[in-house]
Amino acid sequence: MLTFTKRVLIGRPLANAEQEHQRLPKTIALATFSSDAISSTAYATEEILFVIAGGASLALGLNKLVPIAGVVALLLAMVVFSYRKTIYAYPHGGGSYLVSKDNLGELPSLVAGASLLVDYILTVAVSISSGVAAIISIPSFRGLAEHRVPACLALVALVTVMNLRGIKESGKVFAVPTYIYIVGLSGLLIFGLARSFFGHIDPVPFDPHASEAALTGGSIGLFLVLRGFSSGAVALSGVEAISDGVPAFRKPEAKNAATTLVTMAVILGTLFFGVSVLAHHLHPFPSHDETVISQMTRAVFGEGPYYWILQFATAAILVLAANTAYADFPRLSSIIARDGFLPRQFGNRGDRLVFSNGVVFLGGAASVLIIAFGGITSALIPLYAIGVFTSFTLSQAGMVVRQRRLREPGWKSGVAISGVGAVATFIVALIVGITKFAIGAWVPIVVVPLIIVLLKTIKKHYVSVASALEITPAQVPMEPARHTFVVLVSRVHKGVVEALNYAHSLRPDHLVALHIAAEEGEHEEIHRQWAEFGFDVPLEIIDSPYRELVAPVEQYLDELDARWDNDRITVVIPEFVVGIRSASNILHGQSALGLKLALLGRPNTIVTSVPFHIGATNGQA
Amino acid sequence: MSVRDKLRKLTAGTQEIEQGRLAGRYAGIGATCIADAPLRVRTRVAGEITSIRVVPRAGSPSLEVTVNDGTGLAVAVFTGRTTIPGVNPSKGIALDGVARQDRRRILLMNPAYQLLS
Repeated sequence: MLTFTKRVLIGRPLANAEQEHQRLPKTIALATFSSDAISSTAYATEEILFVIAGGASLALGLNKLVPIAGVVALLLAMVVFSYRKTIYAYPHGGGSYLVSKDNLGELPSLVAGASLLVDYILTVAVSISSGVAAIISIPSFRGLAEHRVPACLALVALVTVMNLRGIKESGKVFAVPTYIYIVGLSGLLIFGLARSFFGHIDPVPFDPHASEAALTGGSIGLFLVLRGFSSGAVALSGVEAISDGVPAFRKPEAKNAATTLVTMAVILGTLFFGVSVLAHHLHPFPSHDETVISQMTRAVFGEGPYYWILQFATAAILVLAANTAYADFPRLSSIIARDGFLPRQFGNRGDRLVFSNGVVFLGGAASVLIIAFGGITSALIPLYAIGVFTSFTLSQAGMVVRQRRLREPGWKSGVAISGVGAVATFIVALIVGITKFAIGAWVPIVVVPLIIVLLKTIKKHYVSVASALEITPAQVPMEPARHTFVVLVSRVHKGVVEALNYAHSLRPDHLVALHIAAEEGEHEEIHRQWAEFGFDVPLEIIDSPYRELVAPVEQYLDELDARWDNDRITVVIPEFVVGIRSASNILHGQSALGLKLALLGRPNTIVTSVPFHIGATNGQA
Repeated sequence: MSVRDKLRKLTAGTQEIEQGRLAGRYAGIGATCIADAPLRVRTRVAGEITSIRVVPRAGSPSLEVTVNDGTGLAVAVFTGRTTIPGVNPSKGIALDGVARQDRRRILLMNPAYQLLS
């Protein structure tokens, strides 16, 4: 039943040899890895407006929009140049975690790793909740606003299941809306800008009830501009994605990944800058009820089919931005797990060759965040811009160190690009940290160190386990010499005979049969049977006045340890098996299981089950 | 009874409860307590049978009965037989015999016994 459900949801298991199956061609990879970055065009502009128009006034906000977008685009170009180098240098993926591990040392790599993990979780939460916000913006779906959180959770579940099917499967399905969005938004920009430059277009009618901003007046300071800028810098999130996931590309991975990265950057830069310019002309206002893109599309095209398609595509791409995190988080967590900083389970591939545990964990963590923040995006965005820029900084600083060390041809220009990029992104990280500290940026500043402590604790545990298990040829102990067998007997049956024969065959130094008498008169039967069968094995009958099984057995073993110099005691449990899946197991007590668990903790004690298969002798299961 | 004792009682394992129960029951019935039983002279101890060991060695079978009175363990070895009617786990028994030390318990060979109700 369980298998059936799993097969329907996830598909048939893939063999290791089918690894190649999960490689992405460039068209799908572009959609998978860039949907996060490109989706930020749907909300970055709006976030800038929220901050500046909310702090000063709408008119001032619209004024500063284009310069801020220009700076963001410049920053994007810098980061992308630097990341191209990273991709060629680290074609096995891992992005800034590996770069900093290789060049900067353990602590920086953990900072990068932890920020990225947090970043991906936030990406899922932010993108899904803004996807739902986009759906709610469509006037006919306003009613859904009440069910914001359940709608978000349903989408998280959908994306999680799709990703358990494999990145290629999810990529194929999710590529379509991504391309529709890119084409649709480009159409809006071309048509909208053309109309405002060569013709006439009415600005978005201002609705003071829905707007979160004052119309005019107010003053703007450097702090507010910087805060607006750091909101807009969110657009860069997701640029990291491709460098983390290089191995997902078809061969030659590095070349394909680098090409895809540049393509993505061009699309992202153009769209983001375009949306900001268009907003400058159309005067949309920030509102929790309707997104800026939705307002502008209605102003340019009216509420026709184009509006609907673009609105749905926007919702879709926002949801799909989560997909990028799904492509990268499991891979990154598996790399970190392989280094021993995360539980080993993150490194296991599931049925479909994806790191299923990472996928499921990501979905769960994002759901928790969505519930905690009630599905409102703006509350989450300041949380993650800082993580993005921390990892940018570390990755580029790592590249500077690496290029200076290797001195490959052209290293000087490489160092210059990465160095400038590192400084720029560091400054942005500082700006974000300072300007948004009070409204949420403190969360990652607190959480990331905690995660690093956690990662280090996990590593310490693995190291201590490994050192406890390590052995050199000189340390090999002598073979255990004295061996005692204890066969548990409830009454004489075929299984018990089997177990006694088994124990005999191992020639132990001492062999005893043990009966725990829990009920009055129970022992008489066994006593009689023992004489009747004439077993050449001492039988010990222990009274258990409190009808326990485990405690008297443990006590008895302690006594045996005192009686004989034992190196090993083996407890043999005759178990009859009615079939693992059979419901008739309910009819049989599972006391043996409890005993096994309890004795597992006893030193020098081995618990053996001698199974007796009921179906094997009488021919029926 | 102090709070601490009460707490102790709540968290005590069955072994501890058992010791207390046995000590309460077999003190003051005219027998020496096992912990204080003198060696190499006739002595009388009483307690509850906690385990029986049947050794079916060909030619010389024996039955070992372990008795607990809450202060210690006494083992009665009955040679030449594998069963004694009425000698069953959880029954009370008094033993008359000469004790010798055998690790952390005392051993009585073929003692006279009396079943207690």
